[in-house]
Amino acid sequence: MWRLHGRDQRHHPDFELAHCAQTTTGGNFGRVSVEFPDVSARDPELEGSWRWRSHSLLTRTRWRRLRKNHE
Amino acid sequence: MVPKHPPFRREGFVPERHRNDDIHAVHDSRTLAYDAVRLANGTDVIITGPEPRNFGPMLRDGPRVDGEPARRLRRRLKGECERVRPPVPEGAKLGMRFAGREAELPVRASETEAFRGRRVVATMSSNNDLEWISAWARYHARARGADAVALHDSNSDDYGLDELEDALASTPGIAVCRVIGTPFPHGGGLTFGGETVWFGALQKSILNISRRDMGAAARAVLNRDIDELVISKTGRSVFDAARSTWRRAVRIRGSYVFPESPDMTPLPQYDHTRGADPNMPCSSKWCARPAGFFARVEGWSDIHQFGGE
Repeated sequence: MWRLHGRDQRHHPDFELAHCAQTTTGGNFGRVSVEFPDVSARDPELEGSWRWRSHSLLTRTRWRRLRKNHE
Repeated sequence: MVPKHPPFRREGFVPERHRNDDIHAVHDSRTLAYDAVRLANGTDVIITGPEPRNFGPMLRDGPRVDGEPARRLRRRLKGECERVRPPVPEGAKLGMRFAGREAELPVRASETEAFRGRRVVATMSSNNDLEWISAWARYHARARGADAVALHDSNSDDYGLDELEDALASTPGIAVCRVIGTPFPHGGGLTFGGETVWFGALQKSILNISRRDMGAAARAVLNRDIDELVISKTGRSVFDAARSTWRRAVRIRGSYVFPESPDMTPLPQYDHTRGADPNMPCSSKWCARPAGFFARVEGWSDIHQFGGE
């Protein structure tokens, strides 16, 4: 049983976690300095607007900087 | 917390010759216990704190029940999280004795019944905007079916705990919410030879407090930070998925998402509409049933759940 448990490290295929890279400043517990829009007003777009596609503006350098800010 | 005097310093795991000012800045050397809660059974109290190291004898011999040494004390160390469980009769006072002095340890009442059968989102926050926290709760209530929030506040000074609880309580769909203040050092990460080491057991301890108290009888508990959203590709409830697996838990793959804006200005969560190509993964998170076998045996951790990645 333990061996099976140890090997079963798969992620669930039905779910995805979106970690917003640019919402906070100063790390995961940092101060959020922006006004967040009302979710109810954006409801129809909530799931549909998630576009998993290439981000042309995202360079490797920027990613490193973001990650550094976020850690 | 113990006094500031040198004899009451909790040792860290870094050898003395490698300690520098950075390590001293992030190492929490004075906290003995984060929380003491009376369990729903009415007799046991669970004291949760960081790994005691040289405070071990203090935790073993220190607990007092109405001034007398606590008997039948159970201790358990999981990861960096120490749990001491003395039986304390209803109405009795729990104290801690060290260096010839005795201090009372406040014991809070169990929240287990309030969260019974609920779909709980557990998180920790510090000084995040109230509107943003409220919106985060609204998202998980409507899109994921959460109906309870257990939030540990870490040293917020922009608002009080009451304001935070009011903001959550007014969120549509959230039937039960509790805000618990955790005025303790949060710790921090330091990089050694390219590898980041985290100092501090607060978040891990807080999650295990949620597991044994708020989440003990909950339907399932979802572990999320304020800047993280769970997306369901099929519309299925993540709480139901956690209950239906044989491990009583699901691990959720994480990816960073980005806004359209090219500058580094902080932007709202829903402006983050782009993923990266190739995908940029972040740490996995999880949703689990607290009463599951592995949750009980292994405890909970903020990122590495069920043996890690």
